[in-house]
Amino acid sequence: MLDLKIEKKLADFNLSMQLKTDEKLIGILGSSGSGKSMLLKCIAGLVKPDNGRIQIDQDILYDADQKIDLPIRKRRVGFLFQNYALFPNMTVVENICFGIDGEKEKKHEQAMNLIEKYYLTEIKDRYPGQISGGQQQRVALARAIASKPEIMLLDEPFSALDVHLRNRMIHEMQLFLKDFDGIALFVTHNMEEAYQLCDHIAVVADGGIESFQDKKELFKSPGSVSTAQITGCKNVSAAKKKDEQHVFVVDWGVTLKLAAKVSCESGFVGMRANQIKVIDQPEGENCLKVWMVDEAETLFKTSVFVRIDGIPLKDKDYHLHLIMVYEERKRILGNDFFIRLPAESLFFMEE
Amino acid sequence: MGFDLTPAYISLKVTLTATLIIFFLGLLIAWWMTNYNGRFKLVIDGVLTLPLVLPPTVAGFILLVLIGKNGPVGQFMSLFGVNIIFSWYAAVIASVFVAFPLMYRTVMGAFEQIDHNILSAARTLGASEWTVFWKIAVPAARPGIAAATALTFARCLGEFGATLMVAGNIPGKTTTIPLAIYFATQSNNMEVAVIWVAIIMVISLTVLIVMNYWEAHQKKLRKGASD
Repeated sequence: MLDLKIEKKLADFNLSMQLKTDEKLIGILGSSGSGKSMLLKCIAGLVKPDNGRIQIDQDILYDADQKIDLPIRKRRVGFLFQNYALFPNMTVVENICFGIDGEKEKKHEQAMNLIEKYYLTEIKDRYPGQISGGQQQRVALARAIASKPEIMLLDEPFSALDVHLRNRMIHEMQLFLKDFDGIALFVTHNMEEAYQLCDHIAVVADGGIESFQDKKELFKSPGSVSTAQITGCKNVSAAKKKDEQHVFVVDWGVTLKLAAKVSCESGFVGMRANQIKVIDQPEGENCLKVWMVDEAETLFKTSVFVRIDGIPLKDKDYHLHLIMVYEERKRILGNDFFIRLPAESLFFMEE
Repeated sequence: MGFDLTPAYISLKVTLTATLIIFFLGLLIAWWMTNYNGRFKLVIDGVLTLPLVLPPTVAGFILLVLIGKNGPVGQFMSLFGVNIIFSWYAAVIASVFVAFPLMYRTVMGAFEQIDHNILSAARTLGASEWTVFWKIAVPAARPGIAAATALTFARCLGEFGATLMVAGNIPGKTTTIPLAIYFATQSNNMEVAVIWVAIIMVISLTVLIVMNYWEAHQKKLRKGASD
């Protein structure tokens, strides 16, 4: 069980986070500078909060009221740093041995077990400067796990890796986390990584935890505008309630139907860019005629930017951002075409 | 004319002792200062660096006042029957006083360059502060520490002004090579002076070059192969 409440004044914002959960694997998703790394540092004891409490299972790591502040070395946290922070003057074996307690031979034996498990046998006598990024990450994981932590703190572990290596290491991390029986917090700004690795995700914005829920729920209906944006929603607009299931979307100037009930008078609606459908004829609800204003191609997908009320004369302002595969793109023949915003994909957010 | 070799012996004795003292003192104080973020940081740093910019005569004067027969340290030591002033101990103290800032400054710069995550990682892995210092920080800062030690050694070997004031020029007792050069020149004994000048240049240059090669070799050991 993880139970934490942290308050800390920082130079550019205030950290104020609260989280209590029995989940073992928790994704922490937030943009850079939102305070997500600071959360990990507070748990590890690298940074002291101004106020609050941190408890893992039965162990109280920090409690401002009881004046408990365990030193870092007694907290039993495994910290995986963005740059892995391997000791450059020690070989792979020595790095792994560092966190193991006990006699020399026992230490070595345990380290060798981990080395075998993490496929490091061939490079065990090399220095960190002589091995690849992926190998470095494996050494850092083995080193952290060797100290038998109760909680693993993973701080953007893939951001230093090349793309081709990243996917493989994400897969390895999945296996690692499956094997680890403590609590793991995985911090990232990349929603796909968070989605791939964790079942439950906490969204962090402006120093606070905006929401904490099952990942499928989170992506289907983010509770707030900032959560929607962090989870990659490209289309957000202010909206006013018309009736139980219809809203008037202010920025787009249209009335749309929602599958879920509208909870309050005014708020926002969101629509993910990849869930907008290109259609041949306007049939049924939520169909709109749009004009293309811009397009940005990527390797497998293309982004199409459209306006609802005709081609703008001067600026390239757009209303909706659509993302589609090239197969789908072929259905767009002229400058204007029809789209549908499926009611079940539209979500309403309170202010 | 027999060539008196005692200045070389005294110089090496004084320089090695002083370098050893400065080495450990410099590491500890530099590490402490790196981690100290109190309000007096800049003041303390100024005081520790001061001897570097003082004229040798001022450094010598201060030491004379402190360790002289009537100075606080001198009086305290005389309780144990030890006389510091005008002994080779005084020469060591003069060297430590004058060369310490060189070690302290250079090593602190090296400590500040260390990737902070490495130190944090060591702490999360259960290391004590002493282990973090001795097993992680010192090895990580080793190039800087090696350079600082070489500079300190060379500076101690060349120490003249403050040494002259507190240790004097007692042949066979406190006459170091720089002092021998000065007094040989004064008495127009140019051949002797030239020999000592050559010796001191060879020793200093050798130390600096050996240190460079050693550092390059270490770098190659740790990187080399894969890059």
